[in-house]
Amino acid sequence: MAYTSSQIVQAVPTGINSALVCVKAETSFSAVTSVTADSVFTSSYTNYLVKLIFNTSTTNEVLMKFRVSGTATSTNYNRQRLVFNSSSVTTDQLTAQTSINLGGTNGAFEQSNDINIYNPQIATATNVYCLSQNNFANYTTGNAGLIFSANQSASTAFDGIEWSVATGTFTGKYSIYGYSKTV
Amino acid sequence: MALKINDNGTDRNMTAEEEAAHLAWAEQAQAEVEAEAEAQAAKQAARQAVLDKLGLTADEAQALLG
Repeated sequence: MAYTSSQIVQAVPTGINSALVCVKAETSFSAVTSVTADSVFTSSYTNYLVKLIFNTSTTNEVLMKFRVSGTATSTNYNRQRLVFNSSSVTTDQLTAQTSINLGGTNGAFEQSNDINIYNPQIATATNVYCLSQNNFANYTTGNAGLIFSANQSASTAFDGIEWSVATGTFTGKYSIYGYSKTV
Repeated sequence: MALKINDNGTDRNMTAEEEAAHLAWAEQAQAEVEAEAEAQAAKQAARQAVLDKLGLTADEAQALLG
């Protein structure tokens, strides 16, 4: 006998299924210049996790900004990055930028990102910690790891997020989760 | 050709206002990306200059540093 989903009862211990709550369902985008997600940061959660996978049409970079009421903020971004690949381990720091540079790929090879965002909806600095798996132009020697520590230093409460490319387009998908504040 | 935006889950063409704002920002962002690439290249060149002075390859230097 086959059961439909409505006939199946799941027994899940309290709290187990509510640690991360999806606030933006998985959303796909294809060959676009910009992606926006508004009204995703609310007072219901303090911290968020974004799962973002993308590839870029050419050798370009995906740049992240926060938004307020549908408008992107393009100031006060600071980023420290560690990159480890087949030949080197390098670090670099960027200050007073117009966005947070997440790096990029080239063609069909994807970059997968876990982006932790702290306090976006609170009127204080918004901090970001991101781990990324990059495949630059191939899935063998192009394999690289990236760790980002970044922030938007203004005391602004943001309710949305945006990713864009300065040249070309990008394709991918994302979902956004809030970290539960209660057990 | 209009630039495309995924607006909260829907792919559409940017409005003229959105496109103008994006292009203005993109110019600045591209300059930042290029400045970063130049800084990384300069750092790499400085590293290579030291290696050349020592007569070591990058692998040999890495082996020395453990």
